[in-house]
Amino acid sequence: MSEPDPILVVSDLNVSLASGKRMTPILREVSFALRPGEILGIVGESGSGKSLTASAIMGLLEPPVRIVSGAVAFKGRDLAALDEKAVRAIRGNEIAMVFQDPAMSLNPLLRIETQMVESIVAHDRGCSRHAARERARAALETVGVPAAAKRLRAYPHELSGGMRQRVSIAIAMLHSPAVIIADEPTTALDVTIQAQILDEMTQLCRKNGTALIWISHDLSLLSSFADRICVMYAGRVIESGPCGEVIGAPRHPYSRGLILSVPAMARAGKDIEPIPGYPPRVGMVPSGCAFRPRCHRASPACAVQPPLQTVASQQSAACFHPFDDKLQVPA
Amino acid sequence: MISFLAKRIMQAVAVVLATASMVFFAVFIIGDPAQLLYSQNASAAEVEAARRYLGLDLPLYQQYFNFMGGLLHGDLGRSFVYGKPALGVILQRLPATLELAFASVVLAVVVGLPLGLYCGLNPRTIRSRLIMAVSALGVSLPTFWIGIIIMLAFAVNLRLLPTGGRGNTLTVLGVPWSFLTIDGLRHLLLPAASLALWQASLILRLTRAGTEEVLRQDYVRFARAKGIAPGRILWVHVLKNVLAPVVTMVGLSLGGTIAFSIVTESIFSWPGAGKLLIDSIYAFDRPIVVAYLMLAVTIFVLINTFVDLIYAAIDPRVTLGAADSGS
Ligand SMILES: Nc1ncnc2c1ncn2[C@@H]1O[C@H](COP(=O)(O)OP(=O)(O)O)[C@@H](O)[C@H]1O
Ligand code: SF4
Ligand SMILES: [Mg+2]
Repeated sequence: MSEPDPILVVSDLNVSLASGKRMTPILREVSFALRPGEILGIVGESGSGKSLTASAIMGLLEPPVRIVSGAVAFKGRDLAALDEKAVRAIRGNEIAMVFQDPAMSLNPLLRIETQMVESIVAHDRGCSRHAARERARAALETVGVPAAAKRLRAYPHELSGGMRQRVSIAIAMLHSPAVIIADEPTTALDVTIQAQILDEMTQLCRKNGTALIWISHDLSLLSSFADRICVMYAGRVIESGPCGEVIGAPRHPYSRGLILSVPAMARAGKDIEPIPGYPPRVGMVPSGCAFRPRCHRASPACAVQPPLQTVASQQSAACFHPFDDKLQVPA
Repeated sequence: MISFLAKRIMQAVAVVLATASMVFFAVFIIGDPAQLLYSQNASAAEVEAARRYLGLDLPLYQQYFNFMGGLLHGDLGRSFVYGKPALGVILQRLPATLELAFASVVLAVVVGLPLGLYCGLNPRTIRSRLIMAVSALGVSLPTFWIGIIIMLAFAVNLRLLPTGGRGNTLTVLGVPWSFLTIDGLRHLLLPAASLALWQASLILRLTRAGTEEVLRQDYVRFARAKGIAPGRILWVHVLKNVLAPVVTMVGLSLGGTIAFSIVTESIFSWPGAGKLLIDSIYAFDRPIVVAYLMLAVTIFVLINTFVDLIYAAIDPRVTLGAADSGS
């Protein structure tokens, strides 16, 4: 079986926070690839650098945070090396984004219509106002917004949280992008609406062949629909691979700890095992393997940074002492 | 909308009546105008006649009811000093005050808003730190002191601008205006600038803080993620959100300037209603003082109502009923 070429390749991405002359690294050597139409889940505790990775790909980092080195290759072009204008032509057009909190991501003073039409016109100069409105209405209907024509005239505060997030998703899908980055898009919503929106969005992406990067701190949620999973810890990708392998046979002690600390995913008959301690804060990351202070497999070898290396046919982990057995998942 | 306006009008009437009553009694306690109006050597009989003519011989409650009765017919009494209807005397002086107040607010907005926006967009540059430092002075220095200093600097020492008065005026709609002639503008500049400095500094700081706050919002990042051009993000997404609180601030400051330009008018001999008020207080000219304060309150309420309407027009989340109970 031959894999299609990746559409987005992030390689050795280093992002730092500049304060005076000091540079505090936040993302380190982040690398992963996204194939067309694939759903990639990025998981990690809060503060592990997931949102920053998304911002770096979109070219949305703001000073004092910036890319120090590394590449974001989209269809063979390095976005990190393009000028702002060229990246803007790609943003919202070929790579779109959905943010976490739908209450914050729509401008409260502008009608839904204004916010959708401006997105259309930004990339289709020639599109008439009337045609743009028609496209906006159709896009709302696609994501399951009832009475779309009426909703277009509404202001964000007149819609429920779920409806607002559907609007954001409709905006992201306006130009049929090749990639959508969704940064915890359902975290702020009610559980029932979470499931609905997740279903609708993943189905639409699969139907349109849109590749999806779904960022979440919830591994059990991701495991239900992602094709592949990247686990992040303290600004690094520490394990990645096909969803089934990462969930079923996690190699890195942190990934394994993450899975065993989720009640629904822990081994049958066993208590959940929370990971001891806390993740390090930015600027306080220990040298060598960042997970070392919390790791029960740590050895003196771990005082050096372990590289992300292949541990199984498609699975990589950054660990000197990776597990090689499967987890027994409850039936 | 209609019920909002009706409620506002009723509130305004209640406030104006209460103000009128308080001022009426307060001025009565201060002194007897008849003593001041007539020369020391006027006979007791002359003073008595004057008191009777002005209605000052009646018991206090009687005077009060006469006053309130007149008020309901739109009659604020006659000025003891000018012998003319009080409202007329004030309205004659009001355009000069309005002109000064509007000139200062326009100046403050034209200076404060763009500078505030600049500082909010470029918070780390040396230039914006300098601007912020000047504005910190601007909000803390008293207006009268500024007035005296800039008069000394630009009018007395450098002799660039006149020290006071309205200069040449052009009469439009039966009212003389300074801002329509070059000489008038030269006279307007210093008093307007001295009133504008504090307001401009406040608008600048509010705009700066608002801009920094709005730039951090997710909807600005989302707009960038949509590929919207920076110009449109600034003028449509950012400015609109920054402007909403600034409008309120400008309205309040306009009301304050109209009502309290008294000191500046005195320093620059600007013949407005503020100067009239000071003169009338010295002369115990009660009808003028009462009418002036009632007018000031009315203008305040009008401006507040207008500001709330604008705010509701900018921000769809504000319903007029809520704005009403909130303010
Ligand atoms: N603008 C910024 N300035 C300073 N630190 C930042 C900034 N943005 C993010 N960080 C830091 O970078 C780390 C990663 O943040 P983020 O990517 O938002 O994490 P996640 O999305 O995984 O919760 C956090 O510890 C956060 O404190
Ligand atoms: S490298 Fe060492 S410390 Fe780090 S996770 Fe692996 S075993 Fe633990
Ligand atoms: Mg995040």
